[in-house]
Amino acid sequence: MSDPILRLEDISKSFGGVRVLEKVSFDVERGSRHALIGPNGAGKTTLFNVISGIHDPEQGKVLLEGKDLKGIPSRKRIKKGLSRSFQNIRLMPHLSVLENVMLGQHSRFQFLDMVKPLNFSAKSTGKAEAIETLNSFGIDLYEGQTVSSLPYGIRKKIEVVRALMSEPQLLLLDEPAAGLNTAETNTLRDLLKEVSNRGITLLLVDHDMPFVNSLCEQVSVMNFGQLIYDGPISDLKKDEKVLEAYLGMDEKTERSNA
Amino acid sequence: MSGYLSGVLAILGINIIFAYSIYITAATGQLNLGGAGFQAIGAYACALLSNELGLPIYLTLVFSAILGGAISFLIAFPVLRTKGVYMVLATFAIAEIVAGIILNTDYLGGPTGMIVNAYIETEVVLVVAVIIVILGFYIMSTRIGLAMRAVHDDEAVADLMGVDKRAIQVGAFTIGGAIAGLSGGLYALYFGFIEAQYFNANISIFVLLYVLIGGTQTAWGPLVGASFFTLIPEALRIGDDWRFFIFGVIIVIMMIFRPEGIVTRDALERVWRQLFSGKRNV
Ligand SMILES: Nc1ncnc2c1ncn2[C@@H]1O[C@H](COP(=O)(O)OP(=O)(O)OP(=O)(O)O)[C@@H](O)[C@H]1O
Ligand SMILES: [Mg+2]
Repeated sequence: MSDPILRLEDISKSFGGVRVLEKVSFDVERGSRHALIGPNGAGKTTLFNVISGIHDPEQGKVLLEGKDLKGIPSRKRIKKGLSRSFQNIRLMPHLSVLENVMLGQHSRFQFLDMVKPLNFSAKSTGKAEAIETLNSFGIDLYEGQTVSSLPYGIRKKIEVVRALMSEPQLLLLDEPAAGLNTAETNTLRDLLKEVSNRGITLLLVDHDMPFVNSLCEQVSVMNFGQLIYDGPISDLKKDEKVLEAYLGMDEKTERSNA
Repeated sequence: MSGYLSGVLAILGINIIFAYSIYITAATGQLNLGGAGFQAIGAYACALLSNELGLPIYLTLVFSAILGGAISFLIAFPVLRTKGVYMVLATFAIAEIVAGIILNTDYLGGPTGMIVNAYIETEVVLVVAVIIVILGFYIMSTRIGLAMRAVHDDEAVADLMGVDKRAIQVGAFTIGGAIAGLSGGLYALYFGFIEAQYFNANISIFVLLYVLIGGTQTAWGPLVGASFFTLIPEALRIGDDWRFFIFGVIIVIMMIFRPEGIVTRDALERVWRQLFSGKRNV
């Protein structure tokens, strides 16, 4: 257990003087299914943005496979085995489903393969592989359509598939189950378990606790930018601070509703 | 070929080539409103190389493209720092600077213009136009084309997917400048006379409209847009005065009914499905 794929050391980040992340540290073990939870505004997405290089932390380090990611631009992190999805679906609106998925493969190709016409060299450009992937995830029906007209659940799924196309070591998923119905959530869980069985480490943010419980074994909890729990998910309910954070939240919502 | 038809076809060819130059940049989400400037660079380069050095025609055209591309490449770095309406203004300003330099340089004929000694037939224009159309379709059919469209849709996500946004945008702007230079070279050789006043803001605006109204989502857009706006006024025998009016009306109608341009991916997909009652591999 001393070989984490991702190590966060004292990550701090503020926006306009407001501390959003306050010395956050935890490890994500290789091959694990790790959840990151916390009330709205806790800083979960911000932490993902720091890990993927969209934001630089003011303090602290992100270590991927033991290597400090400082100075490595966001564009190059996907080549280091890091891939992610987004809380608000960020598929390319004018690309077809297939093209969105092919975009996920971009980092795996050399320039010479990028100047081949996709239709005439489907094998060496990865197009054939992308079509196969669509088939295996049961979204081939939508292949040529642009994404904006598709049902929400399908779009969520395409985002996960796109993130997988780079063949990542570590997959960051920001609320993949949000907005899905029960059947879709169950399909997503099966899909992610299969991904995990392939050896890909999962770090996922979600508010759907039954979903998180049935998928993840480790959990880190954040509240107001601070880590308040980090350990096995089975002990989560016994933790005082966690209970307080979530209860406090409920009280606040009740008060604001009153 | 009648002189009239031959003239229309030559203008059509030049407009199509010019449209692809702006399209390549627009496909990455950058609007270039300085088309006339790059066209002028190509036209004057071609005229000088032909008049002063007596270079063969194909070489003068190659140099028109190279010079247009080289200058685009150099100014791509400051220009591409700007975005949206600021980029439009920056490119517009560049075209004005080019026109200003030509007008004030006696060697280039200043406001009286310049006669070009060499000349080409319509066929040459058309052959080059076909090559450029094929080039446009080819680029958009590759992963590079896919990356360009991704940068157009969402720069930040494209970046996280590993797309080098800067390289894509600078590359597209450079190729666009080269193609615009080439169209200028063809213009100079076909008409045999060039003057700075011709390469004015109207030309830049029209070519950008060809592209936006044709549609930037597929390589069909500039072909359809340039053909439509070159041939319709001819077919209707509309004089220059009315051309602007018709342009305005069409643009307003387009903005209401097809804000993404005449040719969109979804429209192509639908047509394809109806023709072959199957799904299309795009
Ligand atoms: N780019 C930004 N500029 C300014 N403030 C930001 C920015 N991004 C996030 N914040 C602020 O940081 C805080 C944490 O936001 P973040 O999105 O990380 O929370 P979260 O835990 O993902 O919440 P949710 O569960 O609602 O998605 C919020 O108060 C938010 O308003
Ligand atoms: Mg969030």
